[in-house]
Amino acid sequence: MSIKARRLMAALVIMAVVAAACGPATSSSTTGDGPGPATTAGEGGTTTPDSGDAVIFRSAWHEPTQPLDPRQVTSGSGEIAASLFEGLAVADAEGNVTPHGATEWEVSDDGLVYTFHLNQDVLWSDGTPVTAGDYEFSIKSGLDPALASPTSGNLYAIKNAEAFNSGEITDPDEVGVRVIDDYTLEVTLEAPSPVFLLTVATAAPFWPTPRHVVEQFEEYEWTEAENIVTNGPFTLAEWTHEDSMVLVPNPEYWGPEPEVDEVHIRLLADPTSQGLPAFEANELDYALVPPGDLERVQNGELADLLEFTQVQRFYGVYMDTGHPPFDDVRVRQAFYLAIDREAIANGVLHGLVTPAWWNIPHGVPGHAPDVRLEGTAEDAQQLLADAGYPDGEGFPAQTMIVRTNEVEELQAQAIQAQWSEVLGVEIEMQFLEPQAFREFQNGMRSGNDYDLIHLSATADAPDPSIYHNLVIGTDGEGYFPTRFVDPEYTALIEAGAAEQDPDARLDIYHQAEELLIETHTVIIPVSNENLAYLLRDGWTGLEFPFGLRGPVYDQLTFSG
Amino acid sequence: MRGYVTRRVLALPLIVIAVYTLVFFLARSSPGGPWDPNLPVPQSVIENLRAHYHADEPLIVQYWELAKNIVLEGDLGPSYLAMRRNVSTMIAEALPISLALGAASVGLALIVGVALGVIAAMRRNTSVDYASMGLVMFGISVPPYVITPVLVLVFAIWLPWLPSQGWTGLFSKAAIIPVIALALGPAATVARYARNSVLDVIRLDYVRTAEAKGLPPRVVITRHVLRNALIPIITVAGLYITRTLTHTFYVEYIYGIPGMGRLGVDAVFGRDYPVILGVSLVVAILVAVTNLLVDLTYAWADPRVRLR
Amino acid sequence: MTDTIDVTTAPVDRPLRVDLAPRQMLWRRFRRHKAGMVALIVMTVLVLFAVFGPLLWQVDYALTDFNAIGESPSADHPLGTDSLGRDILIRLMIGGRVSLSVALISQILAIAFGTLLGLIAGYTNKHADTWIMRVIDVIMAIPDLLLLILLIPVLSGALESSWTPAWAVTLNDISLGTFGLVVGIFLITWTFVARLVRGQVLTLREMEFVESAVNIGVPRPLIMYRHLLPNLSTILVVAATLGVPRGVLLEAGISFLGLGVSPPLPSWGTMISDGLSVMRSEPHILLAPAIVLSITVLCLNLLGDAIRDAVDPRSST
Repeated sequence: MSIKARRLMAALVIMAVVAAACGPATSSSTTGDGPGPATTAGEGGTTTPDSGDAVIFRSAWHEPTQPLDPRQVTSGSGEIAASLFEGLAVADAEGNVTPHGATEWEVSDDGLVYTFHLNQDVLWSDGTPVTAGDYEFSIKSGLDPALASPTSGNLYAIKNAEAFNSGEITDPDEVGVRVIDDYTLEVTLEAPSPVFLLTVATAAPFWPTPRHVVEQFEEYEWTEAENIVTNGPFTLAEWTHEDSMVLVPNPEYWGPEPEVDEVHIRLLADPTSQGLPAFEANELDYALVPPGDLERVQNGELADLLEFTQVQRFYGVYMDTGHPPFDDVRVRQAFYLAIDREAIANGVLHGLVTPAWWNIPHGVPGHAPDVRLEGTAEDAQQLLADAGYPDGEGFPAQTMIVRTNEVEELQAQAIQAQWSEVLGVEIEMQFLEPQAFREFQNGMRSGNDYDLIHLSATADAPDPSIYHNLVIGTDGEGYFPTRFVDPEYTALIEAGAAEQDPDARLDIYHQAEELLIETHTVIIPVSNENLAYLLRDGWTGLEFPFGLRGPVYDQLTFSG
Repeated sequence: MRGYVTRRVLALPLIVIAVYTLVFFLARSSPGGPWDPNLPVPQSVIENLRAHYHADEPLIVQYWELAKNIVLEGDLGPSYLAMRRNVSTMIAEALPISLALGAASVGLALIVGVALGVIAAMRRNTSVDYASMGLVMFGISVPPYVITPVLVLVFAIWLPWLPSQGWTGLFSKAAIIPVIALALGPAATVARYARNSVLDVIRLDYVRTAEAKGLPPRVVITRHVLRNALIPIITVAGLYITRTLTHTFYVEYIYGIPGMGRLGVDAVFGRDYPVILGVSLVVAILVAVTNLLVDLTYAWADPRVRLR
Repeated sequence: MTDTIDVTTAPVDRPLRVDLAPRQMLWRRFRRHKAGMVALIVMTVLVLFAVFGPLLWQVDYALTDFNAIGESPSADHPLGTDSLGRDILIRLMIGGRVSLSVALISQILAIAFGTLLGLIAGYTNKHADTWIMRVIDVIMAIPDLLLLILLIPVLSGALESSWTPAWAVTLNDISLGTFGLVVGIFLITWTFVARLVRGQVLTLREMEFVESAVNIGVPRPLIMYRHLLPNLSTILVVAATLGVPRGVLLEAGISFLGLGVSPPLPSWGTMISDGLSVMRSEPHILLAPAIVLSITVLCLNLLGDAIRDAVDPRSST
């Protein structure tokens, strides 16, 4: 073969390789083309939501990061699962619990035994009745260490739940859950708990799991669209991973049927930043508005469609009060007062957060907007001077840890600038990406010192004790350790955890708030989160369940 | 020659093993773990999760077990974050998208690059040549994380002609910006090679003869110059294919395309070790195989290249 | 083997034909390259801008102004402000210092280490050669960005850990937290230098002056130092012309992904990434760093071309 011919052959070989690479790729990308919401919105195109007969709502979220299995639903899948499953009870934002999947319940006099009577109308989407056995299955298999559910901790109020989950005992029948008959479930607790019913209403592991379906499949295959059965208002009709989902009303649902015929959920990598452009291209009927675009939306033609909803999230700064300079309450109060919360909330974040002077965020029972340390920037300077650092002179070098996240980065940098301006104190900042940030917090919990940390805390249930007993904790060794030790505060929150009367309980936590913020200023709250979103004209009734950052669609109505 | 081929092919698994080892230990040495409890989670829950993923076993055992599963079953294990789905499945879904994107942009780069290079060479030292080479320098210098947002800004925001993000298949409007963004760099490289090699070939005797015979320039170009000038362009294929692979990380991340690049970036941020490992392995294999193919083709095509 | 270096069409596949012309000759040849001269001038201006700019434009790069968020260019802020009301001009200057110094320092390290390993591989025993080349093959089998993404968290994690030597922590503090970045980029770019040097050494060792030195019994380390090293200077210049723009792009890229410098310290990469989220409302926040970065890399590449043409005139066409 001549050199020329060989060269030509070589070129052909490479071309063939490139072509081969093209081959399967093209075919699979066309399948990816299929179920995209933009291309399947009814028969009549993408612009009107109700073209044809079907009323279609086009929403966006991200690929669920946990299985759509009630036993494992976390913040990574809760926003979708909330439309698919429901449990024995529901709670409103004030923490009032009402029966839902149960018709009623009795509590024994010692507060240990709960007997739930199930609503016999509740069916799975395949027509099978939801029985007490399905609830029992959820709880017992959810506690099985082999399942390794990240949410099994929600069940620990139940007798022997923790022992079984941690492998101390191996017989699931020792767990305090018993099927009396198909429609009667008995739950026995470790100790009386004022929040148990609230947990039943809000924690996914208390939802039933369709045992008759789960056991037919391996691992999580039962949650795929072709296999799943649900008991909520919707069921899952299509699910192309990382691409889209279609929810349709559950034909067997016992409650009022949703008005919407199909919900097309586009699964985006980052629904916060990617939803808006798709909304602007009229590919979505709902989209979150990211901080960077909020001002433009507010001043643009979409301003009328902009809405806000509260998220039960605390943003603020925690200090290590175990060592100088933040062991001095005057320093803490100076840092608390030096922050211009309005400027941050409105100037920097355009309403994506609400100023906060309190620990328990808006939307959570026990939230008290009257709790705040009063004072001006001059007071802050005076307090710092009293503590021995006039104009910030001699203030030791301190580092604030911040998670890399658009809102938190902006807010932390704004706080740092205000401290510098008002107090003359230069705080170093260390930005950690989420995983490293988490590792840092683990270090704090295992006793490492720190100076300042900017953080956020979201409750998963409308319960004030989360922000005191769990997050702050006794002796400053809570989830976010402050090393703040005060017997009075500890006694208060322990009393709160045990108090059975709801009003007395709220009163106790109000005192705890005042002690924590006004007297000792243990933490520096800065803001509480809001979600800004756009909802296409004509749609009403988009609801955001407690603690979730995505909506549910059962109340949606479309009025042309 | 045959010895060389055998050695290179045998070296491939060794490279893959080395990459696996390197990535495995690098990924495991990063701070942080895969679980993100928003609120306090009991220690026993964490222990169960660790046991479930075999994260409680000694590193060397994890290393060996995973290697065994990959080789015997092609099973990269479950992902930590994405629904505990199998990493092999996730890659199987993401890879075709990236390959489609990559193939389309390399194809576009070849066409545009060759055309530009040939034109520049034919009009050597004229303003056309300088303009083309200026364009080429621009293409080589502007990184994908600049060109992608700029294209989005111009063609999706200022002139709302194209979608500003997303993936709806290769044959849709949404593919235009990412394909162009990915093709720019390789096209520039190809154009440069094309210009140089056309200039090399033009000097050769048979081309001069063809010209002297009075053949029209177009015939000379297509029949004599282009055919031979293409070889060096093909032989640097490894260079721009590898680069395209790297650039998909940015382009997919910025444009929200569910391909390998975004999978990799998300996994790194989420410390999803199994996915990090899977993506790295696949990418490393792609790079190694491409380079091998290119080298072998090059050697075979040009006997002057002596391989030891 | 095809190299993965991608910034230019430098002769990486064939041995570089080094022209040992005197320096004045090189300069004369360089001057003939018009684009190179323009690039040299622009690059000089850019370096002056980054190095001395902050002395003239004395604004705090971290100073946030809540009354001037995302403002368009004005007299107070010639390039406008970013989403925290910080002056973009000063941030471009400081970002330039960061980007350029990270690239430069990592390339100095890469050239030093790469030369050493290239010499060892090319001019000691076969085993050393095999091992070094295998290590290089593995590093080069992983795309540089992916490797950097994996390395950076490990390096910054290491800087936090207890066994880290004090000097590393000090260096990290002095470098405003960019030490890990420098080391990361160095660790993945030395391989390219080492391969170039090894190739050159393999050619040089066959040359008469080296062979005669061996014959009269000059020890190897001395030969490496006295005979090989001086003849590598040209190829090292070439390596630098390729390495520096690559370093700039890697730094910007990794900072773009949020794994590089720590805010509020700016880098052109983080500035681009900041601008990305607000490009619909305030495109200037994105465009300013994007343009400066592109011009810088363009100039570095043109300069590299001119320098390569000067040292190897036959490679130019």
